[in-house]
Amino acid sequence: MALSEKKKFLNWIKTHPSCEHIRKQAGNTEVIYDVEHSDPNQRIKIFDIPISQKKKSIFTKIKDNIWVPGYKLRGNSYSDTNFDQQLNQTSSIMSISGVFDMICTAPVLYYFTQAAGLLALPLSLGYGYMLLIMSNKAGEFSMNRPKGNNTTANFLLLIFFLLSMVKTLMSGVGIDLVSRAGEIKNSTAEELLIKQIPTNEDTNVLYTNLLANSKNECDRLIKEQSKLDPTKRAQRKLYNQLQENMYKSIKSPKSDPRYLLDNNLSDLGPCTRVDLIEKFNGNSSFNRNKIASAQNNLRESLSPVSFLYVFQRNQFNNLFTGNPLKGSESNFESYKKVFKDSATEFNIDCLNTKIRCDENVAWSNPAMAINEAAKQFYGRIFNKEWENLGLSYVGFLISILLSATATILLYTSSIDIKNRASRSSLVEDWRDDYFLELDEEEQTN
Amino acid sequence: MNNETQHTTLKFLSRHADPEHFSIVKKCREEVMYPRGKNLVRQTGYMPPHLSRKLLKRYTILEGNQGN
Repeated sequence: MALSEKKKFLNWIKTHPSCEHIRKQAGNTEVIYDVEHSDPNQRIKIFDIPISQKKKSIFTKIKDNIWVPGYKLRGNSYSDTNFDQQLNQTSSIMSISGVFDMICTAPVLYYFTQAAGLLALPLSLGYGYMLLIMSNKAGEFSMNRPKGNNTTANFLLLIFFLLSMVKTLMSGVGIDLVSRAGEIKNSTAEELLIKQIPTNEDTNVLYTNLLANSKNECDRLIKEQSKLDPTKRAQRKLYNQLQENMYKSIKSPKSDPRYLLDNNLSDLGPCTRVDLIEKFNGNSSFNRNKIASAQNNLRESLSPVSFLYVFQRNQFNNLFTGNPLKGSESNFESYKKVFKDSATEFNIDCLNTKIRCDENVAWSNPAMAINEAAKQFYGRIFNKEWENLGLSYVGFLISILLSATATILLYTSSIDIKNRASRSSLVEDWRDDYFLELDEEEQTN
Repeated sequence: MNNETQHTTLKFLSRHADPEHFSIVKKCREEVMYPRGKNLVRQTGYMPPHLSRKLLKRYTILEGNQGN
């Protein structure tokens, strides 16, 4: 025997999971039970129906914004189990994509908001949440695609995709900022060291040029002198004059060649200059070799950040705060003597007024950290350094795949006829007509 | 008021009422559930499969007739 429409409807309420709260409400309905009443139909009377608590808590609202329920992607005029499952899959991928991007971009947003001090963490979480809501809402609204008028839906889907891609672009950088924090600092310091630390060959370029010029002049005078014959009286005077010019010198209390070359250069003859420079080079080559060797040792044993801290303190202060040698300063005491009289800067002392000596190295400008991380991350892509692919690239690829999948699923679900039916006012009318028929069926029974 | 009159819930009665009153308990339950079920369908779009089939069939024909 075929069930009446109303019985089918009531049977659905009695069995469908979404009607659980209605069944509970009916079960908890208070009644007056009068077994003595003469009319058996009047023996049970409904006295009080509990109010259904359907208002969503703030926690549920926040949760729904992060993890969008499938039914939010359709209208309320129509649904069926298969379509709801399809929408649940779509919304799950969309939400996974959003949450994954939120987690990956959190370090970038944290660095952006670091100027806010203690508020940096809540602010960055707030920004991340806002970005997630924006892309989820764009995805949700793009599902409203009436037949023949797709412009708004297409635009919103594009916004969803672009927002996802922006977050994707930041996701790899964000993972790098966490997983390669030290490496990023060292690479930046290394780049600066390559640019700024001069090579040992260049250190005495002034004397090298001076030596070459003086040698030429001295050779020229010697050549000129060799043409003269000092045994002949007429040429002897010129010969002696040339000799005097070549080896012209001054009487100075300091016999240090460097002092004489730096302060009395014009009073020295070209051959005297040659002698002095060669003497100076002879004396200082030992010290130069010692300094170069110490510097090379430190370059090998220290990280680029620590090396920058020791040899380029101003540059270090421009980029970082903190003390990379924290607790190990005593290991470098022996090097102090080597660099004591040299022109090379060697500074292992930490001044509390300038940097935080008890803290680990941190970026002095957080925006620079993001710039450097992005530069290094995309640099490795453009330079095709596949061997250096790390966790950040895996995250980057996952983010691209999730964003693309979510966009495609949103599009395919939105063009489904069931989606249009769920938003059709006509279907809503037909559904109300059906309820009217049920009401009439009730009255006739 | 009759001495035998008592306040109770439909859930309780569905288990402990006299068997002859079970049909009245069921009717009362359905009386509560029916309007709330209709509201649920209107608010959420969830609906029994026979209704969704009927609506979709009609809508598909309508779209087909519109020639789009």
